[in-house]
Amino acid sequence: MNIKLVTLTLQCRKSREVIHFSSQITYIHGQISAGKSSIMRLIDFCFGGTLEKTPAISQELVSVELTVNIGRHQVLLEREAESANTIQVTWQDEQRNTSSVLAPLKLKSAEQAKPIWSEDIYNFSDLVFYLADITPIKVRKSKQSDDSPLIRLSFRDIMWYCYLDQDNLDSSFYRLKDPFRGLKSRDAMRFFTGYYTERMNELEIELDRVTEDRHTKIEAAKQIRKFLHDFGYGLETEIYAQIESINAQLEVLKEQQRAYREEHSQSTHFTDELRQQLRQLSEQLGSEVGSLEDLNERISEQTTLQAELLTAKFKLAKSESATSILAGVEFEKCPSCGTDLDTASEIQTDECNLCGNLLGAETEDALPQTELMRRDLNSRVEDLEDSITRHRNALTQQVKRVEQLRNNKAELDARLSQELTDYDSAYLAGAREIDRKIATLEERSSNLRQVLEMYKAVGKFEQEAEQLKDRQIELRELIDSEKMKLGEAEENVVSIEKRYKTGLLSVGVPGVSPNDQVEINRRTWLPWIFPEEGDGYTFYNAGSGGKKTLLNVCYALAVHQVTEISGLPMPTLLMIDTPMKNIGEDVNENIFHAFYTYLYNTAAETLQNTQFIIVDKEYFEPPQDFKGQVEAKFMSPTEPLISYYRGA
Amino acid sequence: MGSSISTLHNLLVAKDLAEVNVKGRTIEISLTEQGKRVAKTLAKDEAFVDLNRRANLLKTHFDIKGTRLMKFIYETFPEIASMRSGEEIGK
Repeated sequence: MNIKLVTLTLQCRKSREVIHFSSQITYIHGQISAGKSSIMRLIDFCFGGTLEKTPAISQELVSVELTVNIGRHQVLLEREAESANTIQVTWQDEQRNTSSVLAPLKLKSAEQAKPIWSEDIYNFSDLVFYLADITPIKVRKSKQSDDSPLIRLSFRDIMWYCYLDQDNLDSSFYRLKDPFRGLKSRDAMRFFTGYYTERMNELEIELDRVTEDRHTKIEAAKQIRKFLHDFGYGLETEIYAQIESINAQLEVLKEQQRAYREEHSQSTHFTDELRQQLRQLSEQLGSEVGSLEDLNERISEQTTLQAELLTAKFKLAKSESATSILAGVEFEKCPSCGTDLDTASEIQTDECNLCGNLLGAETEDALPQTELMRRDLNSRVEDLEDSITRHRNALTQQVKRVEQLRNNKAELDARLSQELTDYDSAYLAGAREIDRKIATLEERSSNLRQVLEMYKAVGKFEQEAEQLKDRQIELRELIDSEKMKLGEAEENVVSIEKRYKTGLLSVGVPGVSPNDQVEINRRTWLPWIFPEEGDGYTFYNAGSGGKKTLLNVCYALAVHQVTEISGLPMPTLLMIDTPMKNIGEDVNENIFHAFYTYLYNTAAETLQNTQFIIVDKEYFEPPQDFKGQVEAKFMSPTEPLISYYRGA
Repeated sequence: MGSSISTLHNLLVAKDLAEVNVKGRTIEISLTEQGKRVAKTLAKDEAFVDLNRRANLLKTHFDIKGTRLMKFIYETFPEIASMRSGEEIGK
């Protein structure tokens, strides 16, 4: 991966500082607090790193620009000092076509992400790989879990092998012990050494998909089981048992309901007798009321007749009086023709002056007839009076009887109504209770059947997860067998081991002897040094800080050598901030000499195409026969990075 | 009824108790002197005391012709049209 720095430009508040880099070795040396390390940090900042805000940087720096050749492109990286997450990337290809994009450093969420360039360039890292014409491998986002998704290896992960910063130089800038970044670092090593193939990549992607699918199913099954457990549902068999129990209870209740309804329709006959009594009573009452009306009618008729007879009696009395008064008045004219009667000459005194008949015989019968009529009338009036009295007595009795019957009927009516009401209320209450129980049980049964469906779904998920597990095992076996085929990559790793040992011996790292074994663990990618006697050690347990620094630097040089020789995708850039950290140049002069001699030799032989940026306190001049380019820059607090700044 | 009145009228005239005079379309019936005497005798008789009292009452307060008297009674007491014989008015 061809990456060559050209210039670094600092836009400060009062000046514009430009630093040119040698195409091979740029050696920056000088006193402390001159801004040597800041140059490294600013380069790293332009490649997406974080910037340590020294007082000078935070007060004076406005923006920083880095011109760099990446692949076949001339690239300008611009970043605002305060810019958090974006880098303006402008580039020109071989045909001098210029393009520019504002590249984000971090990927947005998958839903929001849109390509910033082409079809699959989403962020700064993608763009650097694109400009270098390299396709990065896909790695797991997290190696802690097999379920982690695959993502592209980030350019930042690779930069750990290109920028050995001072702070981590005596521990591990490779971060191989870092819980999270160590995994990325291992991916970077796999990427450099070619310890992967397309086939393995495909298998890993499929494994990733299968793992995720399986995990999803297991998680879904687990969640549903937890949910069911939390809501008090037991085992599937218990649910079946509960449903059976509920169905049995339902059968019993429905039988009760049927029986209850039948009993109700039959039980209403208990009022039949009462109804019969009422019917008879109604008929009797109707008959008695008819009699009462007859009696009234008869009394009325007889009273009228009695009145007429009494009137007749008065008329008879008047007739008697009038007859006696008018008896003395004689006819003077004929009542038929009106002719005057001549009574003196022809009519005798004992004869009628109208017809001439004798009067004696008729008058004897006349008086008894009037008396007979009067007696007859009296007799009739008395009879009627007696009859009316009897009828009135009968009427009084009849009224009482009708009243009694009416009361009886009203009482029976009320009783019938009350009994029917009471019976209906009792029936309804009972029926409702049964209905309620049935509804409750049916609802419960329905719920449990739905829960059973959930159990079936869980079972299905678990079965599918089991099948996926088989596929996982199969895929892992395939990946293992694929790894076996990685002969070339293995050779690269062995080469690194050899170069590393050579480097350590050349520098004269204390405690390392030619008989020691150097071995890179293929799983952890930690380079171990095993002495003939005693335990092995690596970066972390090497003891001395100075020794740790040398182990780190030698390892970086070994990796870069092998990647350059084999044409592996490592950036052709190696920045080492203070390789002599913790090593006094005066006290350990031999090591100081040996290291830089080894560095220059390496740069002259295997790392001819690698650009070095070295920062150190002392300058070690290259050997006279060194044919490469070395540009040394001296810096001091009086000639600092920001020319006008005179701060702390 | 007409023949009864006629018969009664003939009897009263035959006994010289009443006399009949015709003036145009009006027939006037009046008592003779003998008729007035007999009437006074009847008026004193116990059986006719009530009748006499009612006749005087009518003559004093309702001295109107028969047809008008009938209409007056039916208008004043309409219920009598549907009353049975012997039933008391205002009961």
